[in-house]
Amino acid sequence: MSAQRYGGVHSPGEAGEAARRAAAATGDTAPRGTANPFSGRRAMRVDLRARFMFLLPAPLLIAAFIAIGSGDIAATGLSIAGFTCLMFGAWMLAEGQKAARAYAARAVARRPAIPRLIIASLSAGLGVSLAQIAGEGGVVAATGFGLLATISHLAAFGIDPLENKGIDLSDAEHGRVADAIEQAEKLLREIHDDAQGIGDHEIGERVLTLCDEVRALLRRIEQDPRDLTRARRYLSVHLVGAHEATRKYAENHAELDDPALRADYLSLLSELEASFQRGRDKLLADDRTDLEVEIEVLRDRLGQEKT
Amino acid sequence: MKEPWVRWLAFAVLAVTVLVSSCQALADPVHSPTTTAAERTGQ
Repeated sequence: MSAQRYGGVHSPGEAGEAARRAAAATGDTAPRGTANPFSGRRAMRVDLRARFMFLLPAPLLIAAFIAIGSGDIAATGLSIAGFTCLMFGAWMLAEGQKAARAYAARAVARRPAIPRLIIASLSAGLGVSLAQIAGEGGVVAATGFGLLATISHLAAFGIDPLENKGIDLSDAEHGRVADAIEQAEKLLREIHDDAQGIGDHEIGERVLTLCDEVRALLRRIEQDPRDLTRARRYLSVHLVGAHEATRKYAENHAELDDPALRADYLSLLSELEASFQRGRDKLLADDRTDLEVEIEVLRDRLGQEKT
Repeated sequence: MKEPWVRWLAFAVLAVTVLVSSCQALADPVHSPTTTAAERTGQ
């Protein structure tokens, strides 16, 4: 009995050559698995300075505990209120930066509904003022340092986007596009969260690929808002269907524990993925037809001018 | 205002302001466990 050398299609040398011949003979040349799961995705950005803002108020919490120990209710209240304001400001800052990144990533977007970065800077200023009063700093010091904190917060982290991007407010069509994309992004986030909650690696990967396909379609609509009318079926029927199916599967898969149901769900994901891909190709083809018609018209006009 | 050094400088000012204000509340004699009740009330 002799050992057989392992070799796959990507192995070098004779073993690889044999595997490649065998694969070519069976027609099994497609790469295994789906496309790179990170393709088309942005790396998550973490601002360490914003994270650091959660740590800075820690002494105030300790001061509050000591004040409780010494029975000083005023100092306790001021310390806890200051700590709460500063932590709320740090949370608003993190949320504001997330919203600003989402705004920057899109071609068509409404301005954030809540000016989180501005609220964060005001909250930080108020927190510093309360900490100053808790530390017997006086009203002048509390006001001065509160203002200093607010201004330096604004300079360090900036303010929220205050204007809609790619939207002329008089143009209702663009407003509808922004709303439709926002709604679709919300559904995608929920689908993603439900799929991750299922705890099945293959389903998680397939849902990520589906989300990528949908996002590619959304970017296409952003580039040319006229495509929304053509793509509405995909966003209102197919995406909502995918959302419902994922939610129901996530709710019931543990109790039912049925491999046939899992296979059905995976097959539905494949069909949806193919459908969104077809939708995107169709939009591209329509754009091409539009361009060809325009070229044809222009050529005719040029021909008429020559004669 | 968008230069990185301005942002970092502003962040340094903010961090020091928040930290010093928080530590002041901690260092205040009212919060010291060794301060007696009479000292706190000024009697």
